Amino acid sequence: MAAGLPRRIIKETQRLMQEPVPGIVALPDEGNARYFHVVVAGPSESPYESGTFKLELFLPEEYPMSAPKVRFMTKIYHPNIDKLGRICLDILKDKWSPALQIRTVLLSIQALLSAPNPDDPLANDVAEQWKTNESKAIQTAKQWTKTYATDN
Amino acid sequence: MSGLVSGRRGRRRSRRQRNLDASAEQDEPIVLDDSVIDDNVTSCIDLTETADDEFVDLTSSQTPVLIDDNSYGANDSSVVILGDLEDSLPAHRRRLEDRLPTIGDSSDEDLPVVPIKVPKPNTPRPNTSSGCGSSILSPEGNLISCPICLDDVKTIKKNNDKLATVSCGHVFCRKCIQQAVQQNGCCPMCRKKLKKNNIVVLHV
Ligand SMILES: [Zn+2]
Ligand SMILES: [Zn+2]
Repeated sequence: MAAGLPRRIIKETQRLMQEPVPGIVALPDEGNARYFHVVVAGPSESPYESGTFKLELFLPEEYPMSAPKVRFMTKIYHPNIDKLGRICLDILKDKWSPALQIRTVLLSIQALLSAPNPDDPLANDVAEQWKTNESKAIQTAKQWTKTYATDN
Repeated sequence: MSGLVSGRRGRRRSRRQRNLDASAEQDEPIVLDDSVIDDNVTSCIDLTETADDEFVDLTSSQTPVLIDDNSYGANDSSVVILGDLEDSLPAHRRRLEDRLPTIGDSSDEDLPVVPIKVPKPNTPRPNTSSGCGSSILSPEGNLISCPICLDDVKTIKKNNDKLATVSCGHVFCRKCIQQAVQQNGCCPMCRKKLKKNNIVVLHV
């Protein structure tokens, strides 16, 4: 491990390796122990089922006093994720707590895939589509999963 | 863009300004308004502000974390996910709201009992250690550890720190809880509002 890396990050990384979260892989970058390559499996019974979604996660200098920065690299049709992959999730913003960890963040993102929340004040066309025609939105999400999140 | 959306943006902007004005931070009235509560449940990136970005560099600190004391207030429904407790559950089966213990309307009411995070089995057990007064065990029989730095009580002592607790009873190391209270003004485990003088050092 890199010198100067806080013990907490080392411990979290070790535990992520030893006891991975089901459906989630998080590997630290070889050159930067604060940068993680993440793959989240689309939860079953969601429009993202059988897709694999790549994310990047970065632990800022102030971590754990500030939240990790997380972003979807794989294109995804979801009312709380924008076209740049940025995620609308309270615990990544003002509801962050230093008692939360990488694994709890990733679990929350996995849960967000199971429970899209179009009522969030996220002003984008996906949320609008989700509210006005949910079945069509789910259909599009399934299509995107097939197109962008399969065999990648 | 609809009036609702621009209204929200306006509110977010003014909130940000409030944050800049340190003197105002404790004097804001708590607004018991459904739309405000709703707004607080999940706060979002304002896409309109950075829509020009063609990429996001996570390693730059372009988006400062917005910490609003009022958002932890009594009118807030906060969520806390607690590591081991949640890991064992099939997350994808439940809706997000069901999964996260939600704290009620009043920060003074009894808060959910939260198990103290315990170190994994590879952490030395007290009976295998030289054990000079460091046998502070959780109900599961493991050494108590700080949920922020994840150090157990032995390591905390070795680093000349102490365990500390706060008025809601959650236990941390002194260094971590001091920093957390200073930055967020609330308990990292249950979000109860806290001040520095709520921290009690445990002489164990
Ligand atoms: Zn600590
Ligand atoms: Zn607490």
